[in-house]
Amino acid sequence: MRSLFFTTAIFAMLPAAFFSPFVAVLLWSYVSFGSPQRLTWGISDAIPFALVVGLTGILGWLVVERRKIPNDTTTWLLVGFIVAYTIATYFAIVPDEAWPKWWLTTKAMIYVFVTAALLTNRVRIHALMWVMVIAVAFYGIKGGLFALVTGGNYRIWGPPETVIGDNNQIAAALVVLLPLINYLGRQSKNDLLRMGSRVAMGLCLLSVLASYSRGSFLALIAMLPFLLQHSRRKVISGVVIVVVLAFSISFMPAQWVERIQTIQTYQQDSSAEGRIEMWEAATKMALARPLVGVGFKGPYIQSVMDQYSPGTTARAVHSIWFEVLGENGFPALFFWIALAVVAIQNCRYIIRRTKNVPKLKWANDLAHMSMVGLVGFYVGGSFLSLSYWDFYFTLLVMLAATRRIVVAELAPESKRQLFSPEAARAAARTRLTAARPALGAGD
Amino acid sequence: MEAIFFLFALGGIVMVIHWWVVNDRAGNDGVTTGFFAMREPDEPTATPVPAGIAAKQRGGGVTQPAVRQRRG
Repeated sequence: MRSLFFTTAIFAMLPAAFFSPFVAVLLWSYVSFGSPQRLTWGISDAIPFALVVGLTGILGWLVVERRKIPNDTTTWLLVGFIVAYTIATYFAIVPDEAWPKWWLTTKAMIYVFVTAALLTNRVRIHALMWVMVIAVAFYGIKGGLFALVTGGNYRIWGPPETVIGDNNQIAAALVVLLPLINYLGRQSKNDLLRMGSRVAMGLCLLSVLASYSRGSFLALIAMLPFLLQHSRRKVISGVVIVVVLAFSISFMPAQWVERIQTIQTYQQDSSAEGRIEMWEAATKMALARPLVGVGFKGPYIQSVMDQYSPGTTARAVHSIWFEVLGENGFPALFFWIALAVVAIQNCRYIIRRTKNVPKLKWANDLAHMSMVGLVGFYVGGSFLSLSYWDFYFTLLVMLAATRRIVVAELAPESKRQLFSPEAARAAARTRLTAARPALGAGD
Repeated sequence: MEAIFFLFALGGIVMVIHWWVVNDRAGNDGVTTGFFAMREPDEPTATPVPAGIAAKQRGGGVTQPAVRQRRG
């Protein structure tokens, strides 16, 4: 039944996706981040939804709404990252394993660029945020209710055969999602949505705990001070966070407490020890082949592992940083870290410039909550493999788009009151962009 | 149970897309309408502010919008 509904809904929206390519971006984001097709059977099994939606959107983008990919730091760093991992894949030790993952990653990256080109105003940003949140929060809300019913005795898992399929990965994804849900709640006019966002946050929090992921628990704890720092009502928020967290933890069974307590004795825990062993192995791989690493999927292949770290069992690297380093070498890691730094800088810039600007309150909220989500991702991601998660890259281009909007909105004011060379340059760029179509029309 | 959640999420996505299309066609970048409408900068918070006080907070008396309208 759901297969029928899903297929009908997607195909019914395809004409809209062509004539309004941003609809394709929204549909792609749903299919790519939430993988709903993994939960359907029957006729939808034979249809490559991502391909159909993706091609329709790209066609619409090229024919109907041809907007340029923004020329900013995030775009160029993404290009650099793609070039770095493509070169690494060319020199991969096991190309047959590396190229399929290269294609999976690049396919997602292409759409990150389409998204960047079409994110032109705040309504688009807001709509995309809703789709991103619904796509992933579905698993959090479902998991939270499941945990409530079963007393937290069973682990929560993500959609099978996807980048967030593992319990650790879905938990990290939900950690990132918590502040983003909060942003949507804050920015929604509708009382039902505001209340619903709070309930969703509670259930997602419970899902994170019920995943039994220690890395994500650490990410949650690391994120809370930032959440408080970026909250408007700090005392009330602090009390609410402590009460909700205390209730959630007290709800979890003894086996969960035992599992979390092993964080303190990680030296005696085979899983935690295995992670450190894999980080060392990834470092050895990168040091042996600093420019290209061993290629995508290299650390998963025993023969590759035996070559660089004999005695270590081949498996996932379990760290966003070491995964990029081991698989694609230092240049790719440089671009990956630079992207993270630019994302944080974008957040700080938006927060600083929109602090006392009522009409850009939404951008201020978005930057605050994204910053909290990014902290959660970097801490939680340090213990799991989620380096090429397209949701994360979409969040980065969303922040870059928000920064562009903020610069454009403040440009005239900057000239009069807050003159700065950067704002003047941005204003000049905005004028130039506005003048281009007129010049073209004159020809 | 999962099927109900699935359809709920799918319905949510369709509603968001519909909301965006409607607001995009209406050119609503500044003020949005509909189920997912965004809160505007001077939107009343949880505690409603009486109209007269709100108008004064905006920097004028209750007649100010009308004056602005006459000036065009």
